[in-house]
Amino acid sequence: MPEQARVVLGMLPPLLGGIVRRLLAAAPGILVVGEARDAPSLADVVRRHQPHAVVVEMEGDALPPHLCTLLCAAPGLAFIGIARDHSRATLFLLRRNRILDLGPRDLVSAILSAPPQQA
Amino acid sequence: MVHLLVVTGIRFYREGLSAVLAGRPGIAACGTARDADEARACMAAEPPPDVVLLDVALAGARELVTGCAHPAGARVVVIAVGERDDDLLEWAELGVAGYVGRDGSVEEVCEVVDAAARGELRCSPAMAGTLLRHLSTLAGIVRGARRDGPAVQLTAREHEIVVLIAGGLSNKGIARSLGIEVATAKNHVHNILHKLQVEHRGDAAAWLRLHPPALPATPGAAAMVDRRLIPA
Repeated sequence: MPEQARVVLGMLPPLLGGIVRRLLAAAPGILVVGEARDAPSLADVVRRHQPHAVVVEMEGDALPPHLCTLLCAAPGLAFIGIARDHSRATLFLLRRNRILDLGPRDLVSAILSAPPQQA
Repeated sequence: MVHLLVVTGIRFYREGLSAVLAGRPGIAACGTARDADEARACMAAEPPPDVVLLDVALAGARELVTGCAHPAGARVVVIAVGERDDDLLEWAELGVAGYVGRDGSVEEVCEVVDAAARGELRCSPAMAGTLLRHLSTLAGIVRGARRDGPAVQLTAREHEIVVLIAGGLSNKGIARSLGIEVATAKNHVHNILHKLQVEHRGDAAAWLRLHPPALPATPGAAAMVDRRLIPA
């Protein structure tokens, strides 16, 4: 059986948080492992629970510096930032793939495997 | 069994709240609408919704509420899912059956909807206090008018605007209806509230009920009266 996707919820407003909790509880393969009450505690909760994904409410489309720091410290973690009006979300990923015994073709392949950034 | 309609332009809430509420005992069906036109079509269909859960930020939300303000109309619960809370008293004056603020939880939404379906109001003590104080203010206006007669003189333009206020129009709606700038409409509303010595638009609407215009002066105001938005 594949490992469940572990999720941490960060500082979501009550109504949004309530819907997200119910939605994820009913989704097979997803487990909510923790919730952060405020921004400073989010790093602790992420360190403690080692989630695959974190869902937060975000101002604008850019990842705030404290979340950038968290993402850099835990490559492989996915941040889903829900906009303040709750009509859209942005997925932030930082993937680390090691290339052992690097050859010229590996470098070209690595570059080509990077997906183009969307505007 | 209650037929429910969730109306919001935000898909996550439309589908999320619908899923949560559809599974509750006593809810027969839960439809959704993304805008005012879709909502009106759902309300005209059979069976019509008993309760409408309406996002305050939806364009045309006020007109939807006033459209339901008759005995056979659906009970409307408004919910501030967006970035701001709205004016509870304004919505109460328009005739909503319940209100959930931005900080409301899913449980609160469910309780308010259940209560509205039973014809009851579930609200916080703070909200109840606000409503009672407002009722007291309105009662004072009624008593004063009965005792003193119509002491306040509004201009013809201000009278038109009070009619539109009572019809549930926002400053933007008033401006559109009269073909004036929003800032001008805002100034008129401010002057009217000052002249009437009231704080809320709903109080101005209450004043109008005591002093109904003999003949509405504009097509917009006439339409409000035609639609029986102004109680005789």
